Amino acid sequence: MNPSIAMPPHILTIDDEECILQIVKEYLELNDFRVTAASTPRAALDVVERDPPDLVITDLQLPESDGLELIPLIQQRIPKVPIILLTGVHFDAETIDQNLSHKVSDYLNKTAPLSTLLEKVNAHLARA
Amino acid sequence: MDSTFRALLITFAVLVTILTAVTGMALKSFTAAKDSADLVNTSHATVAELTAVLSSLQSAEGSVRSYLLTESDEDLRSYRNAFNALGEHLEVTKALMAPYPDQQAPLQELEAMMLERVQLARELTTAKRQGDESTVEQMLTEDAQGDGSFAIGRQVQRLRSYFISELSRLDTLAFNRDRNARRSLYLGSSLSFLTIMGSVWFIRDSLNHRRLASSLLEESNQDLEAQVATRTADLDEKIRELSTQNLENAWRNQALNHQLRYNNRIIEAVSELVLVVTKVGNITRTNAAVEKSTGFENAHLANAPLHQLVSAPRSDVSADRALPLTITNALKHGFDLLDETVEVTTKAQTPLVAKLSLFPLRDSDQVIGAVITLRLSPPTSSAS
Repeated sequence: MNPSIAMPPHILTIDDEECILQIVKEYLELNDFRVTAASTPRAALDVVERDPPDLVITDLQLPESDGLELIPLIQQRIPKVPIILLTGVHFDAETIDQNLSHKVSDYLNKTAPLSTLLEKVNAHLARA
Repeated sequence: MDSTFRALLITFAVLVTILTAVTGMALKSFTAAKDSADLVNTSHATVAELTAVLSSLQSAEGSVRSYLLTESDEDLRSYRNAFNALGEHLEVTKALMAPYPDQQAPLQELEAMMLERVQLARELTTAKRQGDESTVEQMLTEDAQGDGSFAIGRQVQRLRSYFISELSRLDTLAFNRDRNARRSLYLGSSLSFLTIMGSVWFIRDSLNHRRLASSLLEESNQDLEAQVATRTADLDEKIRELSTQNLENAWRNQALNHQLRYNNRIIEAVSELVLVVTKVGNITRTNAAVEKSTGFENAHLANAPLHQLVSAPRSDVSADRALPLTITNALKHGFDLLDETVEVTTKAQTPLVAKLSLFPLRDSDQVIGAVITLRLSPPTSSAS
């Protein structure tokens, strides 16, 4: 049996807003991914330890610590995992280049449509 | 009723009729054969008894002649025994011929002739015992001239011929009956075979039609299943699309809410007093700085006329509050105002002087309201 059929890619999504977590989870599951949702960095790290994901989608602003602090902790455990940062704050291109591009695989504004998120997920999983 | 079932029923009925007819004929033939066999046996027995009658008569007469020559008691016993046997054979013959009424007359004639011969033998032996040789000689002479013994022989032969011809007739009859029975059997078997073959042909035809119908039905079902599968797949796809669309809408809504919260935070962060008013000058929204500076809660100001909060600067405090005409015109015609000096009413009734700027809000070139900012002037020395 083809393992890719038996086991769809596992995606970890992290956000402190329950509705956003739910929407992203449902959308990705609808597109045949296996999704685990975590609302805190601690819960996210538990998932990483227990069931390492193939890709991580995280919010920039999280309780306890922000997304930028969580990313290195995840990368320590799964060094090559693609990470997509979701943010509601608008950044200019320079800020992205200087502060985000070398820390995450990609970033996406929360005002972007979900289809864009799906495109990025597929692209990074295909690359991985 | 189903045509195949009807055909089977008809076939069964025809077969039962044929078998019943053949069985009836076979039974009839069997019974006739049994009767015929009885008649044959009777005829054979009758022929044998007739032969025995003749033989007994000849034996008895021979014994009489011997007695007449020897006068021996042994010949006398032999003569009596022969006549006793003759009587028995004659009785048996009569019993066997009882079923043949047309032969009773010849049989009675034979019996009468036999009695005559017995009577003659009895008279001869009596005359011999009495020593009357002349009478004996005379009776023998008369008998030799007569035809008694030959007549009995001819009569017996006639009767035997009758029964032999009867045997021949019965044999012919049995042959014809057997032949007819065989023919009936063959005919019944042939008809049964043809009926079964016809039925098989009809059923096969019917079965072919059923097979064809079944095949068509199966194809139709397959088409239907394929259509259902296609429709189901289409429906699944539509549901998937709708779900995706719903999620996109929910995502868009949360993005708008997020953006709204973000914009609100920006407005709340501004230190100047910000008000949103309708085209006719009613307050619809204020920022936190308004409440902080004037003491009026946002709920109190909601839908309140702008002139309750903002008015033209007055020298007389008791005079009526009114919006500067420039603000009214700017709202009406939709042009900007910059740093218009106004007086801001506070909850504590201590008016504040501020610089008002007005920026019209438009929707498709129609002025629907305006955003007003109030920059409070620092307190003057005279005021302090």
